[in-house]
Amino acid sequence: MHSKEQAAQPQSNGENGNHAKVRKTIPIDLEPSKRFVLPSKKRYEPQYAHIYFCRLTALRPALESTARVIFGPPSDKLHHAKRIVNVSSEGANERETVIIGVVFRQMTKPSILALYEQASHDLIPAPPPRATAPYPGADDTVFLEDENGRCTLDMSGFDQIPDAFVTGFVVAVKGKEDHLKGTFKVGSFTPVLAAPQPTLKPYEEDAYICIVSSLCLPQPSFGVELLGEFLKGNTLEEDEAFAMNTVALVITGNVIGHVSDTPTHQPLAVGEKERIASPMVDADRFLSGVASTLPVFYMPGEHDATNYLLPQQAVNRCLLPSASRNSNFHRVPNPLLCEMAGRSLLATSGQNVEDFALYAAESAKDQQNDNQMLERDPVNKGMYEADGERVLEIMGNMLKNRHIAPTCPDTLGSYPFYERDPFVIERTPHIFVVGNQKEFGARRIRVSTEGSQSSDEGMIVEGEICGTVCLVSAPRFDKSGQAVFVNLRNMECCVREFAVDMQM
Amino acid sequence: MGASDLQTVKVRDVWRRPPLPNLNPQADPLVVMQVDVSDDHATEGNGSAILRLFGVTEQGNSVLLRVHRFYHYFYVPVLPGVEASALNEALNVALSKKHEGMSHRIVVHVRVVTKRNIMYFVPGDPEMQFFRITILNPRYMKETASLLQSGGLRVETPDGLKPLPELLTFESTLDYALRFMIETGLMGCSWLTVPASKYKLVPHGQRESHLQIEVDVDADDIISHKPEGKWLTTAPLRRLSFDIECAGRKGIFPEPQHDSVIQIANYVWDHGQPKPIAKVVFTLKSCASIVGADVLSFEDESSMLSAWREFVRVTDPDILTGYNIVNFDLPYLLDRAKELAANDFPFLGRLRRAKTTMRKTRMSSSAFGTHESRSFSLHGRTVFDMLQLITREYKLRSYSLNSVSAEFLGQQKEDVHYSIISDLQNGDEQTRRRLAVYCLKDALLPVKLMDKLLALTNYMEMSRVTGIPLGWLVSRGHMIKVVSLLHRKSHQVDLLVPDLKRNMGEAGASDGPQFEGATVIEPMKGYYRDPIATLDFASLYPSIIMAHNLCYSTLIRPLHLSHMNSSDYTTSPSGSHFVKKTVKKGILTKILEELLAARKKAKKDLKEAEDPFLKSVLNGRQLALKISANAVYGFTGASVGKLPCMDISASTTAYGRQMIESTKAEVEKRYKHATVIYGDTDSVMIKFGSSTSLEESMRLGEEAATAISEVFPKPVKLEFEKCYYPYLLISKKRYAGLLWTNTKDFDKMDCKGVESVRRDNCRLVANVISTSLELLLKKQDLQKAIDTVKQTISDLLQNKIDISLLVVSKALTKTDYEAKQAHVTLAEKMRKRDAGTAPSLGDRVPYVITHGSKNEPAYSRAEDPLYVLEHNVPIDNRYYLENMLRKPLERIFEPVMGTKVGSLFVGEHTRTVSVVTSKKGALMKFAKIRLSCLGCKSPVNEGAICKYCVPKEAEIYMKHLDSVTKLEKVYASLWTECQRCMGDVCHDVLCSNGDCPIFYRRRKAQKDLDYASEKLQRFELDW
Repeated sequence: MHSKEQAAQPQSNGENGNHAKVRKTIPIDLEPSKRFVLPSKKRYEPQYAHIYFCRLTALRPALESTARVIFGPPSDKLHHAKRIVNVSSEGANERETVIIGVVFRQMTKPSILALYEQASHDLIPAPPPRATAPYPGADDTVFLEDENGRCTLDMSGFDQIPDAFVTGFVVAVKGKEDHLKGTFKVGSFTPVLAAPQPTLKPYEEDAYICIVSSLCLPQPSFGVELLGEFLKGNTLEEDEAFAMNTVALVITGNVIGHVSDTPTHQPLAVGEKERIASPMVDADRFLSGVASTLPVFYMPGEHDATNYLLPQQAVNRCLLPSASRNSNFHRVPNPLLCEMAGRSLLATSGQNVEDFALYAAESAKDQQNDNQMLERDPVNKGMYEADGERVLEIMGNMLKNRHIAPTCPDTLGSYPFYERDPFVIERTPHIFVVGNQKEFGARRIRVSTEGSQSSDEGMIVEGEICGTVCLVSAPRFDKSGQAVFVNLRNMECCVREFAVDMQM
Repeated sequence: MGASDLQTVKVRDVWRRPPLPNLNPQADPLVVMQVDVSDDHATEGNGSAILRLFGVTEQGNSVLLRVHRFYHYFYVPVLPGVEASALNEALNVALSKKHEGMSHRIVVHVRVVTKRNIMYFVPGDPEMQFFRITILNPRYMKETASLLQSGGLRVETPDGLKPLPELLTFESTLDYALRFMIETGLMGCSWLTVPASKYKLVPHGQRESHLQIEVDVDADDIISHKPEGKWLTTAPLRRLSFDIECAGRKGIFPEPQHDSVIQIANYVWDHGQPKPIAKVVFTLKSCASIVGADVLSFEDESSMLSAWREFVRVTDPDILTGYNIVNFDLPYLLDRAKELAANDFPFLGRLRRAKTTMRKTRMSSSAFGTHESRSFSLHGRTVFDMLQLITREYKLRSYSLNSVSAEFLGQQKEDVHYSIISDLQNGDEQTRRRLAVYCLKDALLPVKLMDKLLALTNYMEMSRVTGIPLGWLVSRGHMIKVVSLLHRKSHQVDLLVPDLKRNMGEAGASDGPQFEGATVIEPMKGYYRDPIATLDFASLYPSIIMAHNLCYSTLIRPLHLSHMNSSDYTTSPSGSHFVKKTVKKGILTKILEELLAARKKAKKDLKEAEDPFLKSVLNGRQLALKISANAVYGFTGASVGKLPCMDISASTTAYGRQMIESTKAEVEKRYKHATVIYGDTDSVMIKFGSSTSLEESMRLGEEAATAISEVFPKPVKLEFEKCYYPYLLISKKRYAGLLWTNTKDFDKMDCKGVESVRRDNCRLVANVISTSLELLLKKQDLQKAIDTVKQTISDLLQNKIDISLLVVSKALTKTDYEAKQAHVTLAEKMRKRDAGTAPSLGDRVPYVITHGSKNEPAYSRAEDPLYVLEHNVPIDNRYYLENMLRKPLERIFEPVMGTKVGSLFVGEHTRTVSVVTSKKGALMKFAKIRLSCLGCKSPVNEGAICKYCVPKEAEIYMKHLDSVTKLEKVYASLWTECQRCMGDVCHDVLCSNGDCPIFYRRRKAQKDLDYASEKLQRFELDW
């Protein structure tokens, strides 16, 4: 729907002017997001191996029991190997074996070392940019490894490599070792399946959270203005109730747009400093305006002014001086995990899904026999973007594999965590949002109890609660003018468009 | 997994050779590709020798042929009045005195034959008579021949018993095996057939080898096949590539007297097969298993060694390969076995009772230089050390397995320093597994290299072309190839090769003419923006030899000149005389003609071939033929060689020089505006005119080549192949240019003798040089080249150059260097710091030159790059500029800039100099670090900025944030790269491969990011 400001509409008398409208408030708990907050003394000494190791140890016990349910208990015919290396132990050739490990895909990834070989002018090549097209040769080699060893998986039994075999996921596979070839022929596999979900307590009132991403300031955008006014309650009468029932704005990244890198060794030109600072000034104005009427959660995205490696830390207050003065304004990390009215919300600014989509892209395309799954977006630097359906599928797989950023740290930059992998999903959230996507998509998927693994989504939890997850692919606002509203009462989603004649 | 014992080692059937088909000696012929001949020969009951030929059948079964009844022989000229029977008698009498109690006669018979001496053309070309003295066993060859060489042997003549004079013997130094191969027409690595019923299977109980088939054959019954047509195929040779790890003590390179062998990793891989047959690692103490590989663990080192020996026997490889196995792995294993008194170990060959021994050898050759090496008696197995092969054939910055595989396989390799190896060994079965995986990789890479470089294919073809066994190509020099070719041809045409005593050859043989400067036309240094056409003489030296019929057998002694018709001979520019082809064709000419004809054919077949394996064989063939043809000239000039003849080699080079000069004259005569700017050994560079286009130059080049070729005798041919455009001529043998063979696009940048491969330079030099050349030649943008150089110099002086570009590394070879050297001094310094990680003998020591104190000599300012990173030690950038960059840069810029070249090193860009503050050093101990404002550097007590900078906080923050995000990207890309390269994501990267371009950078990225994020954190104070 289009939300248009009309002259006839009584205007609010500024920020403090309150009508009869009453903003609904809900209890909000940001404590869970601490897992994505880095310590003040950062350490870059530890190596990336620890993340994989922590991930594996965190997921293995649950995966072992899932594997027993899915593949059956150990028997004469089936061996559950404790570690990958035990595959080739006595008699294993005769029976099938289940092994558990971290997936690693070997393929042509952006590589700084490769740049050294080409480099003729750069004495010290800069790191390669993030891949924008699907990784070529993604079918080349799939490894499964644990702390004891790595084996090559023979995936010839599959038409295409399933999503569960994206680098960094922890999976259990059943099959046989081919000693001569030194490979493990995969017959079937299982992810760990979704983590337990806390009971959803009833919440009987309509309360919407608004989700937007890619406002891309300072692009002159009428849409952003409209959105702001709507959230403040300055809207059509018929929308007023809806607006006032909107209890929070969650910005899933990219309040500011992509700024081309300026070389640091050259002094900034006159006016350049202002140009770089100006998006933040606009952002500060917008955010402080909105925060005066409802709680605002600002997660950084790829282009926001914060660190690059995931998890991205909250944007520094000095960049948003007026918004930061408002207690309704919350600078939060990306990813974000919090509770709103007893609903747990997990959100990322999209890098995790974008990188994931590059793995299975080619094969997904083959299967679909058209480019339904992925399209080349001419506006966004030729970056491949998955469509809404595919994004939801990927999100579902992340829940099933209990990991929101499997490709960290291999193809997605990550802080070198030493003792934990914060991206492991310990509890299945009620709402899972991914921002900055090509198009809107939403779906509620069932999280069913153990034993009924044949349900559509194939989800299993260890607990007894039967629940649902609301998956949301939040579109880029700069392209679509759309904001997503999730009703905390019933988890229903709708999308509203705040744009007049948006040019795509 | 518990430790297994030798008895419990499970031998997989696939490790063995393919099962033996039923072989009926009465009905089935035996078809074998010969691979090796044994150096040592068995002896029959009658005292004669049995030659052992090792081979493989088409199906991959291993065969030992015991060849009977082949007798070695040599010649001496017939002496007037001496009967063959008398000489026979006299020799046997003399020999039996030496070998008292021996029942058989050493000289079998002496016959008179008609032959010619290969040396010198004698007017009339008369035949001569020789005694051919055949002996029972080659082991008596030397003494028999020396009886005649030293003179004094008393022989019965019609005039009574008379002492013989010193005689020149012929062909007594020819190897027995080679003599056999020449006689039977057997080439190296080629096929032979023994017809049905002509061989006898040796019954199992009496076998002397472990091979699948062992037969007795008569020398006369062997039919050899020329490696052509259906015999072009090769049998699947089995290769065993292995690598050992030793547990060194802290700071000492492993020594077999003290340090155990802890792992032996193996790949068994048949040549031409896509997958290996076995991947096996032997470990001392338990080791967790590895998917796809067999792990055999032992509690006891001797049992491990014995089990490995058994493994070698079971897999029965034809070829042992690895990296540096000749000078490290094999000697270490043998020495270690001796130390452990593992007496059953040194039986790695194919003969049951033949102990594997090694001896030190010294191989000098003009082409490879002098090398100390070792040779092993492995009876039937050929040692093919990829390090030796690569050092021989390729010129590289570094020959470490890391850089070699980076160069050829395009992969960096994890390197585990041996000081860590002991820790891994002393850990648990997991850490040992880690080591085993690493060790396996080191065993795999040599095979990969061998395949990638087609080394085995090419060597087999060389063996076929020159007719010498495969192993000799590796263990002996270039000369043996020509020796074989020469003897083979001589044998056909009844010429005899005299036995020259070493260094007794021609006068003035100490320094061969090939060292005379082959430059004929002094280079006209400069930077040429016009196309420079290059005319090359195709196979110059071979064609000179053919054109002028230069040969041992055509050389006329001055004393015979007067008897010669002057139209029958030519005199070379160096003053030697050779008879013309019309009178007698030289044997070298014949050899070369055949080689070149064969090469033409191979090239033609190569074009028509479709099968990739056949293609690689044919390509190997044509390469081998070319190399062999070119080796002939070198052979005639090798003063320490078998048959040096300075008349031939000096004449060849003299003709060459003359031809270059006359080419210059012809060119400048025919083309008015043309200038010959440089002429080297076999090419001339022509500038046709000041504004000649590329097309025109190519056309003129083509035309000139055809026209001027006519001036020279056949088969000398001048070819136009390429233009350089533009061309930078620095000095003799130093030039660079873009090489064009068509007018559309250049082929490559061709650089000769320019500082880019020398390993004692730091990478910065190579990079700056190649970047400059690229800009000068490809972009033709002098200004940009100058700017880039200036920028680099400025970056260098401002400390912005990555340390990995400044690292120089040298091998630590001897501890007692007389002159102080940087790497030696540093190694000493490091030993004092921590003996455990300090480099020891044999290691490469990487270093950078640091500031140091005033007047401190450069060698004592060398420092470990990691230490420099850790402690922020300032680098002496001036030193790099003045001592490393300046000269090479001057060389390439001088032809372009002339005297203005100095401006590269002075001026604005050299003014800003930054030096980091060391965290180590006398003064720093007293300094107290105080926080300063990140905006204006004034002191602050806490937080990021002072109160005056508050208004600019966002701006200052953004600046620091920017550097953090940049560093984050660098950090992440480097460390994920290493994690990937390691081939394992769950363990820390341990790699210590200093040759890898990102080795130092990744450490630096860590440090820099730590530092930058700490600063950024100061803005978060009031979160």
